[in-house]
Amino acid sequence: MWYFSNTFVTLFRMIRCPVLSAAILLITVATAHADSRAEECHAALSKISAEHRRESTELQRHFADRLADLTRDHLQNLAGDNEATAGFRSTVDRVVEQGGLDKVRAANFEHVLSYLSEVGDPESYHPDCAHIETIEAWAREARVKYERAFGGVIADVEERIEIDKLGDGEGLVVIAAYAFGYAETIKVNRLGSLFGGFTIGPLFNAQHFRVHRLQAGNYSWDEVTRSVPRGRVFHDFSEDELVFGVEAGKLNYTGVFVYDVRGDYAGAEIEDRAAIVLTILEQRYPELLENYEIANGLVPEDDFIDFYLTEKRALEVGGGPG
Amino acid sequence: MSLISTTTVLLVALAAGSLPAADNETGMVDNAPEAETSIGVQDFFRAGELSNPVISPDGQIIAYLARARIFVGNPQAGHSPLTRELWRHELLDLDWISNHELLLHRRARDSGALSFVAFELARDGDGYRIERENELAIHGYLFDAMPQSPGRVLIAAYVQEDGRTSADLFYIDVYGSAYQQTKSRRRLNDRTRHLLHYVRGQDLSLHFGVTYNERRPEIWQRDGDRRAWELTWAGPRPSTFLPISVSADGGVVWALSDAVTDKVAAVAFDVADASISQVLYEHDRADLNGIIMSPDGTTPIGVTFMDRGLVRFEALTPEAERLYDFARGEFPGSDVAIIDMSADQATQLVAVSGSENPGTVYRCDRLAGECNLVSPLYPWLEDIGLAPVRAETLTTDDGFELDFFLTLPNKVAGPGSVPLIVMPHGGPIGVSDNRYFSGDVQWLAWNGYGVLQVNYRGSGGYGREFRSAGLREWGRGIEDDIETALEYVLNNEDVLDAGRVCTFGASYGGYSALMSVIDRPERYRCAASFAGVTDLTLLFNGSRFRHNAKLRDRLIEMIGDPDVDMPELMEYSPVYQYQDVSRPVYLAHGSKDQVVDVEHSWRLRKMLTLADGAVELHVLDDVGHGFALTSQVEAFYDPLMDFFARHLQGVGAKQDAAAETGSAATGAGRAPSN
Repeated sequence: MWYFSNTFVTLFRMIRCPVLSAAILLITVATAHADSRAEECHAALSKISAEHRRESTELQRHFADRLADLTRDHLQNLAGDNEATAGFRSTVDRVVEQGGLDKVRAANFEHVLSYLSEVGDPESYHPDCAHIETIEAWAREARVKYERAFGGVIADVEERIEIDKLGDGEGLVVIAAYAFGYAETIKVNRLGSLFGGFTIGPLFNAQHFRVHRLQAGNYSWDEVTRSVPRGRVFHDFSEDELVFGVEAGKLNYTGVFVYDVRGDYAGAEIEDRAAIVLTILEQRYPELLENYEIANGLVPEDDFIDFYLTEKRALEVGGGPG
Repeated sequence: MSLISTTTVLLVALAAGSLPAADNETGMVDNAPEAETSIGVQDFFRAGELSNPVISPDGQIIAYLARARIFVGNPQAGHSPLTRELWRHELLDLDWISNHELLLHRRARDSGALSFVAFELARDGDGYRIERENELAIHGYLFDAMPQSPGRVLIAAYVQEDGRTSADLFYIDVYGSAYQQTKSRRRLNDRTRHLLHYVRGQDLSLHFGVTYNERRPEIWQRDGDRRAWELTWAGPRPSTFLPISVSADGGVVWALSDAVTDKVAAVAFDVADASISQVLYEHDRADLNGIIMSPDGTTPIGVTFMDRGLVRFEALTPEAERLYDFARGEFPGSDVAIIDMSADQATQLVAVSGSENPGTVYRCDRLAGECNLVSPLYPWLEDIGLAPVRAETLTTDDGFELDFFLTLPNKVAGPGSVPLIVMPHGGPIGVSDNRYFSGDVQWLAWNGYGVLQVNYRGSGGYGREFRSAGLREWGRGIEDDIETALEYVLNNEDVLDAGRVCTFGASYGGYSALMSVIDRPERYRCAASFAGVTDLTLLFNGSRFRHNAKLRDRLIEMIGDPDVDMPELMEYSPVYQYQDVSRPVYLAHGSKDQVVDVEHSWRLRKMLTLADGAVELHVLDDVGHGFALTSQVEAFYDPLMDFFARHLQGVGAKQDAAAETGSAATGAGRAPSN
C-alpha cells in the first residue's frame, strides 16, 4: 500500500525539521486515513455497481421476453390479416420508441454506473463517499424508474392488444383523468348495470390517459378514495351527474375528469378538453384516429372535434381550410 | 351596516389594482428586498405595504393588515405588529367593534372556511398587546360591529338551502363559544323567507329584511319579533336593493338601489307604505357605491361614486361639505378619498393618490388641523416616476358615453415614438377600469408603451342601460367601442405611433384582443391573451355549467343560447374564425383556471398551428384565473414582454413560428404520463 511508504518518508523528514515535519505528519496521517476510506468506498460502490448492473440487465431481459411473448401471441391471433399485422407491428415500434427507453436507460443505468465509478475511485476519496446508504437508495430508485418505464411500454402494448379485441356492442373510450393531490382509486360505474364499471388509479398530481374497451351505454364518474392517516376517505360524486356516453364501434371522447383535493375538501368536474385529448391521441394513437369515427360522448352537440378534423383533412389534401 | 360602504371599493381600487387580479390577490405577499437596486415586474405586483386600514371609533388607534399580520398604533407612536404571521389564513377584513377591540375576518387557505377572531387590546408601554382573543368559527360576515356594545356584534351566517343563499343573524359575545351561540334557537330571524340583508332597530329587533327572487329584490317585514314575515314589496325588475341604515324613528330605510332608476341611487324606502318614497340622489352617469351617514347613523349626509375612474364624494348637507374640505386642502392637486372615520367623523383615514403617487394613507385630525403619515402603499415605487393616467370621455355613434383612460410613458422621444397597447378589461358585464394604481398598466408604461383602457358598453358603474347594452355584444358593439376610443386617441395624441399597436387582455379582455385582430387586422400588429375565451360554445360544456341552471341562464343572457344560437356563437368565436387570424398571437393560460378552462387556449393554438399561424402558448402550472404570487406574474410577463418587443419595438417583427411551453396534458402543463 503506497501510503505506508509515504508515512516513512514523512518520518524521515521529521528528523530534519521538527516543526515543519510535525505539520506535515498531521496532513499525511489525514491523507493516509482518506486513502483508507477511498478504498472502503471503492469496495462498497463496486458492490452496488455490480448489483445495479445485474438487476438492470435482468429487468431489461425480462422486458424483452415479455414484449416478445405479447407480440408473438397477438400476431398469431391476427394471422391472415396482413394489414392488421403490419399495423400492430408498426404500433408496437412506435410505442417502444415513445416509451423513450434509450433516455431512461441513459439516466437510470449508464449514468448510475458512471457516477458509481467516478465516486468509487480507489485512489481519491470523494466527499459523496460519506453517503453510501443514500447512494445505494438512489441506485435502487433508479432501477424502480427503469422498471416503471418498461412497465409503461408493456402496458401500452397490452392496451393496443385489448383495443384490437373490440367486440360487437363495444366502443373504444378515451378515459382521461387528472388528480390535483392524491386519488388512490377513481371509480367509474356503468349506469343501469351492476357490472361493466372500472377503476383507475392511483394518481398523485398526475394524469391517467388510456383507451379502454367498454360496452356501449352511459357511465358515471362516481367515487374517489384515498388513504389518510386515520383510514380511508371516500368522496362520492354519484349525485353530480359526471356522466358520459359510449357508442359501439367508435372512438369515444369523454372529456377529462379533474379531481382536486385540498385538506379534507375535494371537488370533481368533467372538463371538455377536446383539443388536449386530440393532441395526445395524435401523438400516441394516430392509428385510432385514422381507423375510427370519433363520437363525442361528453357534449354531442359540440362541433369542435368535427370542425378540427374536417379542417385538417382539407388542409392535408392540399386545399385551403374547409 | 357600515357608515362608509365606500371603503371596500376604494381599497380594492388602491391596493389590489391589477388586470389579472384573482380573488386571492391578497396572497401576493412577497415583500420588497431590504436593498432594492433595480425595478422589475414583481415590484409592480407586490402587495401594498398595508391593507384594510381602520380607525377606532374614538379615533385613537389605527389598525391595518400587512404581511399576514395585524398592526396597530398611531402616527405618533408608530405601528407595531399585534399578532404573529397568520399564513394559514387569507386575511379578509378588519373592523373595530369598540375602542379597544378588533374583529378579524379570515378564510382558511386549505378549506376555504370563513371564520372570525376577536382581539381585546391593552396598552403596553407606547404600544398595545393582546389582552385576550377568541376564534369564532362562523361562515358568514360581520353584519353590525355595534361599537356602543363592547364585546358584542351581530354576525350573519350564510345558509345554503334549496339552492338559494340566505343569512341567519346572531347576536354574538365575541369571547364566547361560536357553537353555542349559533344554535338555531339563538337565531334572530326565522329562516322561512331566505332573507339575505336585514335592517335592525335600535333595540336589535329585526322587522325588515331583503331577499332576491329571480334576481329581483323582495322586501319582507313583520310587526313584531314573534309575528310572521310578510312580503311587502317586490322590485319591478332584476335589480339591487342594499339597505344601509334606518332613520331615527324607524320609518325610513336608506338604501342603494336601481329598482326604480337607471343608475344605482340613494333611495328612501318608506316602511309604512312599503314603497320607495324618494330618490335621494341619482348621479347622471354613475352608479352610487356608498352612502355616508351622519355620526349617529340615522341621516344620509353624502354619497360616493366612481367618476371617470376616481372615487368622488357628493355632499347632501352643508355639514357634509366640510367633511372633505380639510383633507383636500392639505393635499391640493391630489386625489383624496376618506377610507374610514372615527365615530364623530373628526378623525379620518385618508388615501391620497396622484400621477406620481400610487397611494399613501394619512390620519387627518380635522379639529387639530393636521394630517400625519400612516404609510405609503408602495414605497418602492415612489421615486420611479409612475406614468399619469388620463381620463377622457367621448360619445359613440349610437349615443353611448364612453370613459377611457390613456397612460403614456414618462419618457417620450417625440411624435410617433410611442407604441400602444390596447387593454380591454375582463368581465365584460359589470366590470370596469379605473385610474388607480394598476401593476399591469404601470409595468407596460415603465417599459415604454402607451396603454389604452376603455370602459366599453357593458362596463359596471354606469347604470343599467349601459350595462345591459353589452349583453350579447361579444365581438361586436364592445369591440366597436374600443375601436372608437382607439381611433380617437390615435388621431389626437401625436406621440402615439398608429403603426405600432397591439392588444392584450385577460379573460374577456383576452377574447376581445383576439376578436379585434380578427376583425381589424389592419389596426393591430399582434394580440395577447391571458385566460382568454376563444370558443363561446365551450363555455357551456364543463360540468359545473351544464348542471347549474343559474350559471347557464346567466351565460345565455350574456352571449346567447347554444340550443338556438349555435351558428352565431361560432361566428364570434376565434377558434372557428382561425383562418382570419393573420397577426401573431400570444396565449397564456393557467392550468388550474376554473373560470375559463385552459382548453380555450389549446383549441385556438391547435387551429392556428394547423394553418401554420404564428402562435405561442404558455401553460402556467398551478395558476388559476389570476395570479396568486409575484413569481407567477413574472413567469407570465417575461415572455410577453419579449413578444411585445418583437412586434412593437421593431426588433425582428416577423411572423413567429408556432411555439409553446408546457406539453399536452389533461390537467396541467406537464408531459403526458400514465
